[in-house]
Amino acid sequence: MSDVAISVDGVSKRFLLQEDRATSLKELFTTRRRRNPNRGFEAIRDVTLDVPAGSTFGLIGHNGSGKSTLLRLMAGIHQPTTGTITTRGRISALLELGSGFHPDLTGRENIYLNGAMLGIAKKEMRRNVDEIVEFAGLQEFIDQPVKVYSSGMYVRLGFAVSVHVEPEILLVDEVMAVGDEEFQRRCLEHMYRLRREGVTIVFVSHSLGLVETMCETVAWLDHGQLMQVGNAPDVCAAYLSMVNADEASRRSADIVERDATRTVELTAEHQGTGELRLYHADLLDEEWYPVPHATSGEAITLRLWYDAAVAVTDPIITFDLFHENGTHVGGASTRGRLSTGDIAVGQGYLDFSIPDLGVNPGNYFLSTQVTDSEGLHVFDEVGRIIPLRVVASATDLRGMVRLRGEFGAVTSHDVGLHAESDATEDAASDTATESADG
Amino acid sequence: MTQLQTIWANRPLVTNFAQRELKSRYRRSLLGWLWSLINPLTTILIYSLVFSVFLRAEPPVAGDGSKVFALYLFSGLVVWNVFASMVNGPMDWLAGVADLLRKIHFPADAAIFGGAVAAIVQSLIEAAILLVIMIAIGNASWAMLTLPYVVVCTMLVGLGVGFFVSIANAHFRDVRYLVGVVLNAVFFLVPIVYPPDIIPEDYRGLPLRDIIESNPMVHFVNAARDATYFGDVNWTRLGFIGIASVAVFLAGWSYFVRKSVDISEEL
Repeated sequence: MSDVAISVDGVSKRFLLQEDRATSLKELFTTRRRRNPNRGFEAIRDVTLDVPAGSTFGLIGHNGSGKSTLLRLMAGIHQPTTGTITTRGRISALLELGSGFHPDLTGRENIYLNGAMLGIAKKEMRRNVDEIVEFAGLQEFIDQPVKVYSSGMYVRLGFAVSVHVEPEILLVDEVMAVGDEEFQRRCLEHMYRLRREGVTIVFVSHSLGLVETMCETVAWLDHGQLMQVGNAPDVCAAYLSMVNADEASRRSADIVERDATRTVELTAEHQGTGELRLYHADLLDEEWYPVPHATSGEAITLRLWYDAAVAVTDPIITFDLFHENGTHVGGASTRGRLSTGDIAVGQGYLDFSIPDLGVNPGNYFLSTQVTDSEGLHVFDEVGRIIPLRVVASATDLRGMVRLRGEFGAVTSHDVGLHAESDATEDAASDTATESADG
Repeated sequence: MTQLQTIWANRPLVTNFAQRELKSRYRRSLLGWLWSLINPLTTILIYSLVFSVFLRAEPPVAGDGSKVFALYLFSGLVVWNVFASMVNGPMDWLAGVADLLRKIHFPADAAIFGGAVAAIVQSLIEAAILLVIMIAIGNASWAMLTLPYVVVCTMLVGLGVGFFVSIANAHFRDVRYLVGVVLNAVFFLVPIVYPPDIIPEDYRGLPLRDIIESNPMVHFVNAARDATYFGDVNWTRLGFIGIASVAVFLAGWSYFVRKSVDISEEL
């Protein structure tokens, strides 16, 4: 047992809801409530897991899955309704914005207060104060009450304090999302350093990529229940596939429901003369089954349905893909092709197939347009109306589109430039080694 | 015993809370710490005026043969103020750390002890003034040395009650108002602002004075009066308040420690 830092044994946590409590003496005596043990909301249900000492442990799950509650139980802020939690070592918890700060006290006083909560006397704490202030970058503001701090300052101070009190166990809830790039990087570097020093870190994040690189072990919670605990890549992959499957079922239900109204819905937004209407767009997978969303890196076919009142010879059909933030990601057009084939009166469709979708996860919108062979007469135009959702198959996706390319082998240049850049390179390679370990 | 170890390990936190309480008191006020003298002095002046001048209450004869109503009043008021602040205080001290308790784990009783340390400073100032006056007017005796003991006992018994009250108040907000009413009643039911001999021995067949004097708080007030006003040492009484206060304190404290682990959900 000595190599277990936190042992969670059969823990459930039930929160009483407001209407379940008597808040005045009058209610206590007048309301005849039956003692119902199932009252309230069960945030955590029968969770058993061990956090090995010196490891970095990730908690993942959707919103409301009980990750943060479990973290708070570990921190001792809440007591489990049933079950026990045993911890070994000094716990420092960074649970939310400025956790453990008193708004009326100055930053400096709060540093001492936080130290005192971990049993560190003022004398001892004094040595760390400069380092903390420096790390948080708050030299000018440290003697101002923290209630005037910005959210970024709050988080910086909170993080700085919690990592500088020599914790043996560090609990971190999704907080690093606040703060600029540079601070986030320093936080991560610091966490890697603590990890090297053998500090046990429990880490809640929605950023699967971060969890996968940081953590050795990951626990996946769903509606308060432990779904899986184990190797970081395995658990992250299992979680991701469930999220995708969930989304697929939700979206297909959505589409069935919406199908009948789709044409009507789009009519209002159409431009063009209207002898021909694009009335439907389908996403098809490799086996020509309709799918609710596209998966990044996999094959997808976009099928555009039209309804023509006139025949068109060599029409030009165009579509464009926009990210929800407005960026025009790309598009394709039949212009320039010798012949697309003629459109006869009636309904039909046109396919556009992508063997390996290079668009990264996100919400996108499609625009389509049909013109005559010269591109002058616009029969129909639908602007950024057809939603396209792209989901992930992997976690290390960067930006909006995937750059296809390959890294060559590292080539060393044997020149005397080393001495100047030693320090930065050391720091960089430290981090690199650590990530590789994870 | 573990709760004793816990609070001992958390000395820095208790100190921090006490300092915070002391620093924030009278912050931004013009007269600052003078208020801690003005308050008791005005109370004494007004009660003396009403009871001694208007109602012509005669104080009992003091140890040196003098009869100063204001001093009789002051000697009782010192311990009463300790008691009242220890009963009322924990509700505020606990509420004051509610936000912290929701975000970080620490023993909640550290906040209570911190508040108590800060509050006792005020009482010690009052007690010191009382002693200085007594010495100045020549009503000094060795019995005065028991006053610190009496103050500490009163603090413990008040905290014991305060621990219970603060937990109850976290669950039911009525408790605060109830405590106000009860404290006010007890204040007048203990001979603090009047001498005990104005209570009729027998009122419509009820032994009224015995009933009043059966209130344990009477002994705390009287012990303080023995020490300063009468210059007398009543060992039985000192023993009683010692045992009673430690018992109440320990009961309240362990109740609080047991109940406060989940208190952040209620605050």
